[in-house]
Amino acid sequence: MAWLYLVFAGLEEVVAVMAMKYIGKGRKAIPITIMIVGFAFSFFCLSQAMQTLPPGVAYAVWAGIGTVGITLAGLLWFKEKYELPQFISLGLLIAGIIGLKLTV
Amino acid sequence: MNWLLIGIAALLEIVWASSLKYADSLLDWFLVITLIAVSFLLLIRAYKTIPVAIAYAVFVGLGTVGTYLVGIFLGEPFSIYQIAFLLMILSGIAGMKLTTGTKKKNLQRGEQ
Repeated sequence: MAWLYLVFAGLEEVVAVMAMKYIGKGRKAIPITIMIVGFAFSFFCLSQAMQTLPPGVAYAVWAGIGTVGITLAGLLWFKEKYELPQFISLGLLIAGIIGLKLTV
Repeated sequence: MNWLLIGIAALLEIVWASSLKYADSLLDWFLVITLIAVSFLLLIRAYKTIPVAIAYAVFVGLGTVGTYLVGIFLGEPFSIYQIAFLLMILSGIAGMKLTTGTKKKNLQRGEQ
């Protein structure tokens, strides 16, 4: 159940960040609502997962799902172009966050 | 310019993320929520020229590193492994900064 919460938390984070992108594009009320509800729900699910999983593990998985999901959203939904050095840097960053949170 | 916005957004994130642990009055929570809102507004600005995954990852990465350093400063223990992972995050951030321009071409198709 805790893992299910974590997956929901990660997906909600992706949705909320996608909504943020739309706020910058001009549309306002609907994306702002989706963003606030999305982050609130995401943090709620994360805190639920932390009740049973170690907080470091929960945060690492949440950040991993979120960042990978947002990269996919950027590529597939917003049609942004990323190059190899950017993927390598992104990989380093995600691995660093996961490692740090697992050892804290 | 937009990298600067991400930097400021991340600094604010460090403040609110670190204070989550200590906030207990209504005023504390009001301040935390205001800081969250301002840091997100800056991030939204940055999305105009920096691809969404890069901007968000740098924001989260800087926030993680900063919150961790504040934790150490406040007396939490740390280890050599954690410092290594921290350097890994920082090199990832530097790599993204160096390989990502703030040119419109990054977003051409997405921006319409």
